[in-house]
Amino acid sequence: MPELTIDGRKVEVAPGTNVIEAARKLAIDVPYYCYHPALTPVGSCRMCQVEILDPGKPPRVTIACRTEATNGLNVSTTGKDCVAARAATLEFLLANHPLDCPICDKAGECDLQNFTYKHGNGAGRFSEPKREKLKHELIGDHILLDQERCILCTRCVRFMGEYAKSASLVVAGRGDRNVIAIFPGEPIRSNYEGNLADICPVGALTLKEFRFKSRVWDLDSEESVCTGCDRGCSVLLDTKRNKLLRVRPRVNLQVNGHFMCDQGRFGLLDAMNPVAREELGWVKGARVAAEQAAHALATTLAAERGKWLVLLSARMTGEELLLAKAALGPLAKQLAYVPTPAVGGDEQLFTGRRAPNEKALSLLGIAALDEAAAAKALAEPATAGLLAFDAALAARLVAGAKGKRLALVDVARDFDPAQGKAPCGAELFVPGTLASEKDGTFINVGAIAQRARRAQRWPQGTVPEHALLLQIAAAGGVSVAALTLKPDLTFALLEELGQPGAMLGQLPDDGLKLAAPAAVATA
Amino acid sequence: METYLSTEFARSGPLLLDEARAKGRWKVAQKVFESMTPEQVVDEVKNAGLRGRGGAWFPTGIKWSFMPKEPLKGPSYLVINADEGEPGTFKDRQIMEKDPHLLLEGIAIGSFAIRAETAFLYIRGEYKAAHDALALAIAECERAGILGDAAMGTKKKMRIVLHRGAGAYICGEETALLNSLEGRRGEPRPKPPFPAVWGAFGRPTSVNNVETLANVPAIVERGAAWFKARGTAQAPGNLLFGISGAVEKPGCYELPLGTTARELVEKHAGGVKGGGKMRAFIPGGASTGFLPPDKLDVAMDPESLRKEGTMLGTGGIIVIPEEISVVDAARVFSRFFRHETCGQCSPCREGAAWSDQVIARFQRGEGLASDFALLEDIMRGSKQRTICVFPEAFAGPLGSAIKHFRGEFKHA
Amino acid sequence: MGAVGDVNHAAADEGRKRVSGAGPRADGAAAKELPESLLVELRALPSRYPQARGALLPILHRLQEWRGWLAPADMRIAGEIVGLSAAEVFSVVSFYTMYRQRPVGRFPIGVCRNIACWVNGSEELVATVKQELGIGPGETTQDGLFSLEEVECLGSCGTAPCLEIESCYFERFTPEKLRTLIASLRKGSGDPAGAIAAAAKGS
Repeated sequence: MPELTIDGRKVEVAPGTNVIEAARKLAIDVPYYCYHPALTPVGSCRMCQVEILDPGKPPRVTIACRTEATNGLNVSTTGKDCVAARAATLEFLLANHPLDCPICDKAGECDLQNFTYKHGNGAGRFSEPKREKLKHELIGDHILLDQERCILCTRCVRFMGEYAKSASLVVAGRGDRNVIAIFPGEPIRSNYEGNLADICPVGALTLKEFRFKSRVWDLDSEESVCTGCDRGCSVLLDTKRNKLLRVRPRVNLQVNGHFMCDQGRFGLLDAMNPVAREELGWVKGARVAAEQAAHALATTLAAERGKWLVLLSARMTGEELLLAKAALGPLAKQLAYVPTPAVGGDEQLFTGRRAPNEKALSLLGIAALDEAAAAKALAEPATAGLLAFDAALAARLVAGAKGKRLALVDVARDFDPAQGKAPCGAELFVPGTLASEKDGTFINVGAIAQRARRAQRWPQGTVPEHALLLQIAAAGGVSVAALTLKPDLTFALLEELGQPGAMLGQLPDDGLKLAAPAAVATA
Repeated sequence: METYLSTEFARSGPLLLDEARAKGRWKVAQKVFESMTPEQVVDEVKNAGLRGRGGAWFPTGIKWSFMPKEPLKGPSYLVINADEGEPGTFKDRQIMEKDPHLLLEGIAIGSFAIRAETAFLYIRGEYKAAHDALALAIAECERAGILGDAAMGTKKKMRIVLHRGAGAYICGEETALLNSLEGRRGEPRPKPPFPAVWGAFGRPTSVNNVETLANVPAIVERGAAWFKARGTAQAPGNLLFGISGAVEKPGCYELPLGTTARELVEKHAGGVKGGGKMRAFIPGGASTGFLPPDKLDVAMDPESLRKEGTMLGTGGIIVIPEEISVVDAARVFSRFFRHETCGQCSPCREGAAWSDQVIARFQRGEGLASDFALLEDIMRGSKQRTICVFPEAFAGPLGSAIKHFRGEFKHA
Repeated sequence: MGAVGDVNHAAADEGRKRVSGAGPRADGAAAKELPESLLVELRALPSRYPQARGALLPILHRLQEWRGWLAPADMRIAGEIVGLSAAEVFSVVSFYTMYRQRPVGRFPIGVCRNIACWVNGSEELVATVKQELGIGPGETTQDGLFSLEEVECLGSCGTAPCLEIESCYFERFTPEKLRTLIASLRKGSGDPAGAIAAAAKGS
């Protein structure tokens, strides 16, 4: 393994590592624009300049992104020549850069601002008229292009060609007339467009959905997991005053690399900001406090044990599913879930299966019933009703099941209480919580268990699913002590899946790949 | 004085195959293909000390020795740089328009030396007459079996593909040329890898200038010792010097390397036009910048010009007459370089444009005392800080104008 | 290089799938506009190169020769033939000075403005065009016959000043010769290529 010296400190790296990544291992941040760990390096921005020190020779300024970290290499990131070179690069980039900071969404997370503060000279000497180019032009479904702010790092061009596999963004022109452009009349149409706003180091590519919504330093960020499909991309949820304003991918080399898809990125924005959400419960046509509805549901299930078909949902956390299996298993006539088919997945990330915890359901051994079989089970005379945790599925099943009762626990959106019926016309409705409103574990299609941190507060008075399930267990005389006495429910969940127990906070940041239970059992 | 490059330059049209053969063209290539080895050709060219005449003066034999030997793992290519775009340079054009078979023969021998069966002749898009002469010559060779699958009657293949550029000075840089050949923007590539490792279409490639290759038949025929008998010890051979600007007899003159600029300007080009005086001269094309008239005795060879802080470049002398201000001449160049920078690298894209804006202010009488340090910083911040040496090129006229003619830059 | 990423860097170029820009839309109609013989000629070009995209510049030259400039439909067709998106072709077209994205005059005049021509009177040639035709750089005459551009070094320094029309060079030129040229081109404007060639021979 090659060993090199950077700023007097030694580091060992894998063969083929570049000096930027080698420095990163030492927590030395070499600044860069055009380089990106997931894209082909080009070496054009000239921001990552460092010095190579050869005994007996003057220091040689070169770019770190295309310098291999070889054995015995001696690098300085602080030598006066490379410091001057980086400052020069910044002065060149700032020459024609518009003074847009006060109105630019990128402010506060802008690499031009940050590097200028850290590596720049402090004053620019450019006093000629600045070049004017196209501003705030929508070039796709989501991205606004500002050619003046662009520093021509070409990350966006390479991203669209190499990762999104759609060569729709290009450099047009030559020299100082260079601009980023689309072919006239052919906007970006890609499921990965949103990533452009993340990879652009400046405010040249921004999201129209986020435009002028907030300054980034006013946002609260939580590490979570995307629930758009069962890829489970690691994300950051950015909220302000409890409203989800932005979703960004987190780097997770095990799951999603550096990116996420637009289905998730923009789907979550809609899903986690429900409009006209029903915050109260319903019992037999009367609108009541959620707590009352919860109590009614618990007592009904206890009184009518063995009579209800219970269908769990892949929207629920692993901990909720574990509790549901323990609490509802003994009380239900039948406990199952309806698998979600994968529709329209792509070759990068989107699986097309809009069921984030489907894997958890199957690993927990919950019975799988396709929708037709579920309808049949519901239609059986001995079945009194359906307890569902997914409103869309409930609506479909109840439509063809006359005389069957419905109990629903889910988030109801676009709901008008004035029409006098519970969501889906349910006899019992307990308002549910969003995935963003709780801590929990999601297990993706590759059996990787990841931690989601709550990013939003549920409405006051809500009885969240795990509390509801504890009530149901208590009312039904089912003991769940075996689970609740564990350090936490995540610990219990992992043990149930044949893994060594670990608490939610102890899961690795990039997720835990679950070993096959049989392998664990024989260990 | 013996010439071997420009014998046909006085013609009005190209030397066609039959007459070319009668004058000896293709005889050397025939011998090479029939009875020599690639190593023999490379060694002769190495020993002759032939250096690239595209402006970089890199030893050709050494460049060829970087190419892969047996057993080959795939095709190698020879690429001919006929992009001749350096202002003041018009020599390769003469060879192509008047003596295309001389070039084609040099191409065939060079390809043989590097074990390439295909040569791509990249010619700037504007050179229509040269292109047509070459297309005709290639067709003649294909019909005569000189080029093809059984080249010159041997079992070896030799194919020359003519490819037009589309107007971009930067495509004269060898890796930008390769990108342009591949149907891309003509942007230079970071090095390493060098073309001998990763060149045209990902294959090992040697890129050589037209005039360089035109020297090869004579070297192989008459030997290294003959070649070294003219020119300088470190830069042997004749050079096609260009002389233009304000002179009586502008043109292309074949003379030994090391001839002085004075001899070229006064003896061969008839001196400054109208008997006037010179304000400045450019020794070897735009990138080599301005020299004052008192430097006219400089020997025109790479080493002597490097000692004067400049370069031989393409050997195209341009004479600026006294009535023209160096500020205006510098602006012609800054405007040119701003137009031609490919724009990849931040310092060059911005620096070429910025320096043009500053010179334009001096032209308008709006120069500032602080602009000199600014221009020095622009050059220092971009030279050796980019993918290619374009900043060194735009710094040539800029730096030398300030160094030798600072008084002409009137400022506040 | 770099951390384990999402892309095989070495195969990045080959691995790129390109949106071909083809669709059952306007480009279909534009392709119909091109004569079949031209399309056959263009489709034969990629085979001269180890990779199809090597044929892009010659294809674009040929299309511009036919139309006089390069329309968006031309860029789409070129992309289809070599396996690139229309955007990628547009990127290449916009880099090179000789490719025109707008129609120009039937006789597009390019006067070299670089050093040797400038020292030897190129500005007078530009002024002559302004006098005779009323146009400056970047403009086209009302009748669509002539347009003017200032261009960079044409490699005619020893025969300066030089102007070119569709890469036919007119060297050691003077305002007088330019006036004669304009007149003869105007007379032969029905066959522009022929008129230019005849004038070039004569000059």
